[in-house]
Amino acid sequence: MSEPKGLPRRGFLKASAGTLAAASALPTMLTGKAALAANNKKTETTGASAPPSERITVGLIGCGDLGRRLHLSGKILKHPNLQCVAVCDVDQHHVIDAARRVRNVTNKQPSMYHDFRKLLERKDLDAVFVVTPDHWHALCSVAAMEAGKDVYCEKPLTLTIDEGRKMVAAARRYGTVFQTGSMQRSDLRFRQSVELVRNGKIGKIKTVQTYIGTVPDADWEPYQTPPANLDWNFWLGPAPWADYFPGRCHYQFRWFSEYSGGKMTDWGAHHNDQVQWALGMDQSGPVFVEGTGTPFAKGPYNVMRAFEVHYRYANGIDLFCMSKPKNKTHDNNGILYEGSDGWIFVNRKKIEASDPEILKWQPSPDEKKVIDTGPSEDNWENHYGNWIECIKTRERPVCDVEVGHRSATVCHLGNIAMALGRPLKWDPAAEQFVGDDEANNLVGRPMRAPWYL
Amino acid sequence: MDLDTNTLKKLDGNQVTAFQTYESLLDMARKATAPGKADDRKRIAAFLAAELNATDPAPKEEPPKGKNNEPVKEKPPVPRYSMSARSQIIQLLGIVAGDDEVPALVTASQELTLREPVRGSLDRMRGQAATDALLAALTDVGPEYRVGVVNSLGVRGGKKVVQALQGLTDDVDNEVRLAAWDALARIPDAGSDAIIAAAAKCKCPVARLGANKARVRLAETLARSGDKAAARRIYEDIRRSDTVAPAQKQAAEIGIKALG
Repeated sequence: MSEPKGLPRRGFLKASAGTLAAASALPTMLTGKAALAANNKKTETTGASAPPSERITVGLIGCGDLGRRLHLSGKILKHPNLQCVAVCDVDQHHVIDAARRVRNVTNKQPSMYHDFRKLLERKDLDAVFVVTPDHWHALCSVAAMEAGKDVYCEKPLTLTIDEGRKMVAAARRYGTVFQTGSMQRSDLRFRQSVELVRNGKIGKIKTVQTYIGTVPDADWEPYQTPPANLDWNFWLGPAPWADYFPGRCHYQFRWFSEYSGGKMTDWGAHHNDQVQWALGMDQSGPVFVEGTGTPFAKGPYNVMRAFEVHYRYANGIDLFCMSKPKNKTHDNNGILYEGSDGWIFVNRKKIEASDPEILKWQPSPDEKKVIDTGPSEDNWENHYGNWIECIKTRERPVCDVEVGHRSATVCHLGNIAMALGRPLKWDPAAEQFVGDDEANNLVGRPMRAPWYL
Repeated sequence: MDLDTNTLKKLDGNQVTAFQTYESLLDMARKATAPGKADDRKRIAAFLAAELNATDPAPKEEPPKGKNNEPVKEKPPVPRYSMSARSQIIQLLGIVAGDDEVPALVTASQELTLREPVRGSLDRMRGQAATDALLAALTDVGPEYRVGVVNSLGVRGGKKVVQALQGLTDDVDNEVRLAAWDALARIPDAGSDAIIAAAAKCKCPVARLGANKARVRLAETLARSGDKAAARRIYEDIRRSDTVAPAQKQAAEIGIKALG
């Protein structure tokens, strides 16, 4: 019996149980995403909550600053189609604060969890947000998919290329609606730049440059006993054991290669993702990479502080991903597309072109090359809305898991090239380095027991 | 930077010195993996392996006299480097080591604190010596360690590995069994399904769920390796079952559809 189009999993499974039901026959007691699908209403963010039966019940895994401030308070608790009933973090202070925020808005106490595996056992959860440090993204996401939940996972999607492959495999295996949190794909300016590029408005693209910033040095902190509220061993999880000091976690994890990929993945996952989108490379990637990086002069960070990485795609387009532009023509953060007939520069604040007339062009519905997730100036609203809509329709959202994986891969390729200090050839179809076993050894990493993927 | 004992001793220096030394050694090890650098790699690997379990005489101190004024026996030699430094040496070996260095890693793994770092390094090494060392480690008592060993074996194939993993599917420890099923699911051997399927019928819901997740993965592994008939049998069995969780049933439906 094939899965009826548009009917989400819970409704589908209830329909298929017992005597064979026609695809149009619906169970009578639908809740959450099943009810949304049955009514097939477009999500409207009117400010008022949708009826409980039409709200998607979610859990939040990872209640750090981004999880609490931006996602929970900023979006989830304000969204009429979402209700948060569970929060999870290995830092008790974080999870207690997250629960307080939920209670203040909803007058209901959410369940608080220390272990995401326990949260995922809940049968009433439709979906989860994964807003943990990068080294936990894959484990939490795959476990969520195996528990039948849809997933919204922050970027960069992965710590390694191999994790991304496994996340894609799990999403396809379980039919998960998986959105990567690269919300620039739901941003009006960035979408405009991609439409302009893909519709040839600056001619044939020759080079692209992405400027993604550097990180300041930090001071050393002495090793110390972790605070009682933090389960340090669990925070480390699959990463190798390391002695604790406060600057190793909670935001700063980004600058430790055991947990993240530095600025390359932190901002590269945004801007290099845009380049992948603009070049139509969402199921592929570059075929060559080389790069140089400058380590930190002092302090405990072991990612590259500043860098310049050169990628080449099979179609001959060069991408240069660097900490900052070589000249002052454009802002220090953004994307510069250079074509045969002009250039476009875009970042979160503006879009500019060699000829301002280029920017007046708008694609007709037939000319649109990329998914339009919505008209809001708030790209988060569009991005959330796209995911929620796809939960109803079971279509792949704008930043499907494979998109997130391929974009993160571009960043990981850069870090691997810098680590090995030599140019590398990459086969995006086989997802392997060509003729370099040691580089292939860096495609994945062993996980500290008992964790595995 | 010279690769010698004095350099490695800096891994036991203060926080800054240890960090900078390790980063320099890591860079050296990675550069030695470049094509045409096999001699450098072997040299670095051999030196690190020799130093990993090296000992020095115990510090001299005036021993208290024993009974009848006889001198007390001298203390045994002490490891040249701390556990922390040795753990870092093990990580470096994971990058440059080959079969020749496996014995040194196995020796180090006899120490509780080092066995997980050793396992991580053996995980990266895909030669037969590393596989044999992992197989031998399955007899280690602690389940926490054996789970990691099982995970590392799951990315390898071969008859010996499959037989060893199949033998663990009725291990006394639940976590080891779960890990064994999952490891078997990653190796395209249809014979593993009978064992995992039997486990999926047990009363324990955690074990049942773990076994069914593994069966879904195994079916996909088999389909990818070309054994679509075996994959279909597994998917259809899951679909028929009354005790499989909805997510795994859904996955089976998707799998059947993908088989065509």
